[in-house]
Order: sequence, then structure tokens, then C-alpha cells
Amino acid sequence: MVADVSFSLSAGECAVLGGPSGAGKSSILKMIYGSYAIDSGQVIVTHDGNLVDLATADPRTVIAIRRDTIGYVSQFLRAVPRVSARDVVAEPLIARGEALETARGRAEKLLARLNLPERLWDLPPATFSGGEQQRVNIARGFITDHPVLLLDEPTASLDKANREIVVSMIDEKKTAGVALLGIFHDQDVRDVVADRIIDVIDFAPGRKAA
Amino acid sequence: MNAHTDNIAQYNFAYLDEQTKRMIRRAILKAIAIPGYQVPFASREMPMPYGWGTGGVQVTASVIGTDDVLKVIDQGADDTTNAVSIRAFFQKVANVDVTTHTADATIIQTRHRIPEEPLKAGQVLVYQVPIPEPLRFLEPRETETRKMHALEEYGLMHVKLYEDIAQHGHIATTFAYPVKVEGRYVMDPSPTPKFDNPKMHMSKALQLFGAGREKRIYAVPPYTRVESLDFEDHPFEIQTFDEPCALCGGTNVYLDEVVLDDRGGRMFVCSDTDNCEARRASGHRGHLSGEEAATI
Amino acid sequence: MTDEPLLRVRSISKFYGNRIGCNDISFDLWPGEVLAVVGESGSGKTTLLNCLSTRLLPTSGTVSYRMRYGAFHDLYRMSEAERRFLMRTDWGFVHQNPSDGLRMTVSAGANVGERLMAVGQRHYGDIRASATDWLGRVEISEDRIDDQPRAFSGGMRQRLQIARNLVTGPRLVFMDEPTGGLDVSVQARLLDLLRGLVHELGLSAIVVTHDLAVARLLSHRMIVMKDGHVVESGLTDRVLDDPQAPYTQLLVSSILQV
Repeated sequence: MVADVSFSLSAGECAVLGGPSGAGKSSILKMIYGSYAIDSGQVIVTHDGNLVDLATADPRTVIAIRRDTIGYVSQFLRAVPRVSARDVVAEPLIARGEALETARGRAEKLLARLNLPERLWDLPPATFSGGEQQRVNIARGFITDHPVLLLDEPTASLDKANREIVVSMIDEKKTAGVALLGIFHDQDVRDVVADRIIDVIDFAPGRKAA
Repeated sequence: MNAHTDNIAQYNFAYLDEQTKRMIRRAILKAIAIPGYQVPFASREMPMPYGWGTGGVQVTASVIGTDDVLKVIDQGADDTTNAVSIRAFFQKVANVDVTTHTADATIIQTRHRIPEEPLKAGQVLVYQVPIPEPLRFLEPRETETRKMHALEEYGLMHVKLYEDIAQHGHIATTFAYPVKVEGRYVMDPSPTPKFDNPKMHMSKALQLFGAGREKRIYAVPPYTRVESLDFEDHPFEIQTFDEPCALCGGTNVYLDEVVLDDRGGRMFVCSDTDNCEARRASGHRGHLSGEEAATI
Repeated sequence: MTDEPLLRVRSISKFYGNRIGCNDISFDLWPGEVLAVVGESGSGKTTLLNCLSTRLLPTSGTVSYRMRYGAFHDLYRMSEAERRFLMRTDWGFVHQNPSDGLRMTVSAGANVGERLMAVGQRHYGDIRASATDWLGRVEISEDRIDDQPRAFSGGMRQRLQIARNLVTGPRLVFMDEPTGGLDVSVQARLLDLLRGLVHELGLSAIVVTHDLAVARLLSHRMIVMKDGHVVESGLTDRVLDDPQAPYTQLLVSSILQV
């Protein structure tokens, strides 16, 4: 897929992975998140005051890192049957020990900000449209204050107004010192949020050897 | 020739051979040593069908001596078929004295009841038991019930009582009501009405239980705690009767219902016939006893 | 978070004569963690589950459990009384077939209450209140409390079995194909319920399933078994999204997409 990927990401910075489809942008995000295996190399993250290598961390540590350190907004929502949109969004907070009502309150604020109609909050997102699901997904990813946030095409199926809301949310995260790493297909969004572009073409297998 | 025939036709004392009696006595001793614990024994074929008291008869045969006085009751009565035939059996094979008076008996074999008259030290009460395992109805596997007894896992016993309350609003089990013996083994008092459960507690008499078909003997030694299982908010209580015995006027005794005609007429009389007769002999009268009946 | 596992499994093997049931399996299960054991039938996953839950004596290896008071005890060095006590208090076991885990001839309320009575609760009103509460939590309406599970649908029976297991607040629950044999919609409801309860109660669980979707939804971590051996293990989404072993790749690629 990719070879010799090397870069670093600082707090308060938004780096964007660039390159054509199939170059391995999503794979890199997934390796950092732990859902793809890493054959060689290291991914060092500051977790709980320590430096941890995600490539060799045991599953339990990866779970703890996901809960407290690295957030992830995926392209598609993996819907869980019978869980309401509000609770899907609130879940990461509850997992960190937040009270149910507080977590739900914050979830509602985010959903409202992202213009998800209130009548949908009680429904499981499985039957939502692509754009609606994506907004649930974004809210879920942004609700916590994880120091690292991975964004996989979060604005792909959003209209202009909602894209702008997401852009402002990303700006707020940057201001709060969150390190963001994203994939944005949308040129406009990328230009606004990216502090720098990491070109994935550089990591194509065989390129170094050639 | 004649003398020889007489010789072989004679039964061994109390019908069972001496080796069998020794085997049963060993089982009884073990049962007394572990109150409430069911001791397996090699139950013999007896000259009566299972269900007629083969377990009780074997226990009685093993403990009876020539100077014993035997009383046999079925329900509370001395004069029912089962009681009469078992009494006759021991008269024939052990040549012992028999009685219907509770106080005169040294051994009392019973099917259902414990006599109303308190038992004395030195008396032996022998129960005929059909199903000795109190856990059986909820747990059919013998290996499992034995393990449950061994490990004192008795939660299941309360499941049965729970079901009673859930279905009837109160504990509806009226006979074979489970008890805990000396704080350890849960035991089935067998088909005795729960009315008699309190009589087992700290009884001065030795209580022996024999189950012939199931091949188990268990015992409650004298002065042993016997507590009926219950819930804190549904404590154990015995049956009460609305009216006294129609014949002797006795209260706080267990009554049988007797149907008098086909128009709903009925009366309640003492289940313990000996107790009832003794009370009438000393002048007690109920509303249907002879004298009053004559005035109607 | 405690920094000690709840269950330590070391080199568990079970042989049936020369045939391998499961071979040399080791892992730690942490508090609050759900581990899925997947594989096709005959892969040894149920043998492993039985070896871990004291239902089957392993040929070799040790399983130690951290008791409530903190000490680790080797399950197979405990007395049978201790093991059985553990089984009905601190552990649960959810059978694939609810009739294996329920008393079919006593009421739903008594099925749930039995474990409470087994640990010495003797107040009918309290027991019934707990049973009512637990029936509600598994979405069985209160007016069914005196019905026997014989009168329940498959999904209800399975939910009742779960309530019966959870009423004593266990810390570890073993599940053997908990959704096997149920309709798809009933499965979804049960899975959601299980997921919620596991999360809410902070349960640790070992779930044996051949259904990768069940593993995805319920588990944090997975073990993939084949012919009694572990062929792959790791974080559930890692194993499913990026399977490394050829056998896991085959399993994952055999799922029908909906």
C-alpha cells in the first residue's frame, strides 16, 4: 500500500494528506487509528503523558488511546441498530465517564449546530441520508476534546452551508490545540483548513528504490 | 418330620434376616450421626408393594425388639387398611405387643401424621417415605442433587416456595414442606402435612425415615433443630381450622373433612383417632358426637 | 482502570485422545473488555470457552481469575464448591439454546430470582422487585413475570436468560453463540441490548460466535480460531478491516454484504 511514510504532526496544526485516489491516504489514517496493521515502522503518539508506539501497542492500549487521545471521523457511519442519533454522538463522552445527561446535552448542541433536524435526534441513523449520517458522524468525532483528530473526508456529502460549519469547527479545534490530520477531497475546504499538505505520492511503494 | 417343617416355615424375628438388619442398622446409625442426610441402603423386597410402606417396615423391623410396643397409623388413624396390615405383620413375624395409644407405644410407624400427643424421650417415630429427595421436582438428576446437598446449594428450594407465592399469594405447599435440619441439610418430611412440621423441632423422640423404593434412610435425632423454610416477608405458618373437631371438640389439632351426604353435608373430625377417642373418653364433646346427634 | 487483568489464560490445551480440541492458547482478559472468539464450527472455539468457564477440564494449561478481593485463583485448583459459587455469582454463562440455561418449568420471575435466592436472599418482595427490574431491563414486560419461559418466543427466552445471568452483578460473562438460531431482526435487538448492558455494567465478556457481524458489534478484541489453533488475534476492527492471516481473509471475504 504505502512504504516509508514519515511525517510528524504538532498540536494546533491541521495537516492534510494529498494525492490521487488509491494512493493510500485512508490507509495511513487507519494505520494511525489502529484499524490497519503496520508491517514496519513506528507511530508515536503522546498518550497519557507517555510516548506510545501504536504499531506495537497491545489492543487494550489502542482502545485507551482511542478513548482518550485519538479521535476519528470516518467517511461512513457504521450504524448500530436501535441506538438514537443523540446517543451515537454522546457515546464517546459517556465512554470517558461523562454523565449521561451532560453528554446528551452536548450531543444535542452539536447536532443543532450542524443543522440536523431535531425530529431525527431520537431515531437510529441507519435510515438517514448520506449527509445526515455524515453530520452525526462529525458530531460524534468532535464532541470530545481528544488531542489528536483524524478526519476522513468529513465534508464529502455536505452542502456549502454545513461545510462552512465544519470548517469553523475545525478552526476551533486548532485554536484549542488539537492536532488534526485529514483527507479532504473538496479543494475549497482543503485550502481553508490545511496548514500544510502531505503528499502521499512520496510514500508510494518502490518510489524510494527507483 | 412335622417338627422339621415347622422349623423351616418360621420367619426370622421381624421377618428380615440378621445380616440385613445389621446393614439397615448401620445405615440408621449413619443417618442419626448426620441429621437430615439421606443414607443409601440396600432396600429389600418386602411382602407388600412399593408405596405401602416398605421403607418404614424395614426400618421398624431393624429396630424393633421383643419388648417393644408398636403403634401403626395411616393418616392419623390406627384402623385403616395399611395400618392394620402392618400391625398384623409385626404381630405375626415379631410377636410384639401392639397398641393404638400413643403414650403406650415405644415404636410408632406412620405414613402421614405425627400424633397430636407430644412424644416422649425413648419413643421412636418411623416414617414411610415415598420420595426422599426434596430437590427432586426441580432437579431431576441425582448426581446434581447430591452435589447440591454436599455443597449446601439450596437456592432451588426457595424457587419452589417463590413459585407458590407468585401463583397463590402465599406459600401453598401444605404437605412435604421442606425443612432444614440442624442448620445444615434440607430434608423432605415426606407426606406429612406442614401442620406437623413444628412437632419435629426439638422432638424428644427419635425420628427415622425409610424410603424403600428410593433406597434411602434419613433421621432426625432427639432434640434437633428442624426449621421450615420460608421468606422473611412470608413466614412459615401452619394450617388453621375454622371449627373444632365435630366429635371431641378439640382445637389446635389437624382435622379431616368427612363428607356426610350428597347434598353438601360434611363434618371435620380429628385426623388422630387415638387422640380423639382419648378426649371423648375423658368427657370432651363435639357438636356431632353421639349424645347431641340423638337429640336432633 | 485497574492494571491487572480479570482472567489470565496460559497455554490452555484440550485433547480428545489424539484429536486437538484447542491447542496452547494464552491471553489476558481485562475488566470491561469483550473478547470475541470466532471460527467455523469445529474450530475449537466452544471447547476453549468450556475450558475457560470450568465446564470442561483442560488437558494442560492454567486459567486464573482475579477474585473480588483481588487475589488470582487458579480455577482448576479451587474446590468445586468455590467454582460453583463463582459460576452463580461473579460469572454468567449464556447458552446458545436458552432452554439449556433456563428452568423451563418455573416462572420468569423465579428464573431471574433463583441466583438471588442461591446467595441467601430471603425476602420475597425484594426478590420479586429485582426480578421485575431485570425483566424490564431486558425488555420483557412486567405482566409476563409469572409466565413460564415455555410460553416465550426464542428472543424473549434469550433475553430472560441474560437477565437471569446478570441479576447477581457478575463481572465476567461467557456467551456461546448468543444470537444463534434467532431471526435477524430479533438478533439485532438482542445485540443492541447486550451491547448496552455490557457497556453500562462494565462487564467483561468472552463471546463465541461464527458471525463476524456479532463480533464487530459486541467485541473490542478478537481471536480467530481454526483447527484448535489461534490463527490471528487483535483489535476487532483491525482483524476485520485488515486481516493478516490467509484464513481470516477468507472468513472476512465470505461475508455477504447487505
